[in-house]
Amino acid sequence: MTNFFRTALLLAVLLITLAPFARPAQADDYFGRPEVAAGAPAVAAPTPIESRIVLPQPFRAILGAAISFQATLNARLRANLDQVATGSRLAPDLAIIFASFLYGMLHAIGPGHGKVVVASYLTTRRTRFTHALSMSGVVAATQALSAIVLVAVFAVLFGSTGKAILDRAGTIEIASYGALIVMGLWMAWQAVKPGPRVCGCGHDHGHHHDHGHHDHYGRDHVNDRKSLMQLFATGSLAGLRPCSGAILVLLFTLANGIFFVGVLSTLAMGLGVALTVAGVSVGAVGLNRAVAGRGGRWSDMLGRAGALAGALVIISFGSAAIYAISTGMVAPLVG
Amino acid sequence: MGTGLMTMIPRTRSMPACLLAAALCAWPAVAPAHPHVWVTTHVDFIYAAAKLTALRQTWTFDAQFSSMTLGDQAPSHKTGQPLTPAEIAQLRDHAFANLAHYDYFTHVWSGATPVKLGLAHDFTASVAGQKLTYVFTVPLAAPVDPTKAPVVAAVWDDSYYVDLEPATAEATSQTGATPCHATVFDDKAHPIYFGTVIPQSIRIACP
Repeated sequence: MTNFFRTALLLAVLLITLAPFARPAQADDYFGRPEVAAGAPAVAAPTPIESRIVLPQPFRAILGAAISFQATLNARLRANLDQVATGSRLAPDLAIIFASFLYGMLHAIGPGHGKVVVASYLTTRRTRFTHALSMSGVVAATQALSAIVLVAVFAVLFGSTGKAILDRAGTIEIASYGALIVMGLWMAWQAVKPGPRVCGCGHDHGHHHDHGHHDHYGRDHVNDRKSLMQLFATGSLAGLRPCSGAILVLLFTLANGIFFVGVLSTLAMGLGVALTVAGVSVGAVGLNRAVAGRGGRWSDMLGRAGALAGALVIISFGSAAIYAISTGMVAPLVG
Repeated sequence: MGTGLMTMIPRTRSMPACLLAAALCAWPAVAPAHPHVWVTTHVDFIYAAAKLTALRQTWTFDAQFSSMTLGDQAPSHKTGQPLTPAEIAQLRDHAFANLAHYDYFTHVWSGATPVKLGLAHDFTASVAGQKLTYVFTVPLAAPVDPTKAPVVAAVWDDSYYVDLEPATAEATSQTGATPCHATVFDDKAHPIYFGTVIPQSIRIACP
């Protein structure tokens, strides 16, 4: 089993390393819309999903408020960046970092940012709160670092254009959904296969280690290295997709000779994203605990059903994302 | 405490948890967007023989988008210099023309009927400070008489990758003889981005 996780981690690293070199699966124009080859017959563009679905209240109001505050913050952030870029002030660095942090927090309230994967993973299996928090940290850190690495490597070393970098990020995104599907399939197999359940499901594996961590779920096996590896692998796959907002900020600071400010800003955004995702994770673990233990003798079956449901949500999420991107319903990399 | 007894205590992830996971999934997961490009717009309505024939649009981009796009398409452009015709053509072909497939994010209605649009022409671009500006004309496929049915025009991106908004409430003008006038309003009938964003549209009111 450990081999499996080693392989999974290795695959994730390979994905990050190799995906950018692959031909972009699909190029978008500067406005986030799929590019239509010159001379291709004009086809009616599908209506973006965003205007076909109307959220019910109160989600609509919450998301609406977050978006409008976010727009204000972003205007401030970008104005501050302008001031640093034009050298009219040195002070805005702190203001930029603070605005970035708040922006990341709000930005993550919107769709994306791995919340669905994190929530379905944590709701459907037994984990510690601290592990849930680490998973959120992994999601956000991967997201921030993938943007920084992408821009540093391709813009600085290879002199790629901004658009080429956004395209490569799109390829990484599609690859990460593919990897999530594989991960989900494996989790589903773990949930249904006969014999003792493994992997953060809190069941024994037939070989108990006593780590001396006896929380009130002391029977749990959550400290198992496999569970942790799986948790981190899932988190990093969910966060692999770099945020194009961060890429734009990084490119701007790079062009203006203040790349360092861009890196700080991206890390601060990541911290903000981590806080919001942590809120979701803690809710998910809390919910799992609140309903745990009521299954009586059906517990194992229910546990399996839960773990299976979580895996299926992750598989559907990955498949739906790939389908939506491949049909042009949504542009990749708009997070 | 040994684990033997503990393993007998039921542990479960029960149905409500699964239901919550499903509910979380209903949150628009597959459509991440939020604006990443900010554009302020100005729309000039062009009339011929008292009929609306085209929309002359001015889009001014935020500094970050401007920086990236100029860096990609006009890398030898020097700050403070005007764009050369070659640079403008480059921007038109590689950072604008593809919008033809998306009607340049332009929506026009005559009454309740969507009005068909043609290909943009007379494209030009300029840079002021850190900001890039596009100016172009989007013709209506056929002239529309705004006194027959009320006309509403708007520029928005349904996916909300791009936030397009009139620069001010007065960011409209009219060219050519017409008794009508244009006003910006909050278009509650066409919310975008899961119903969370009310775009600003322009109504042509005629006496």
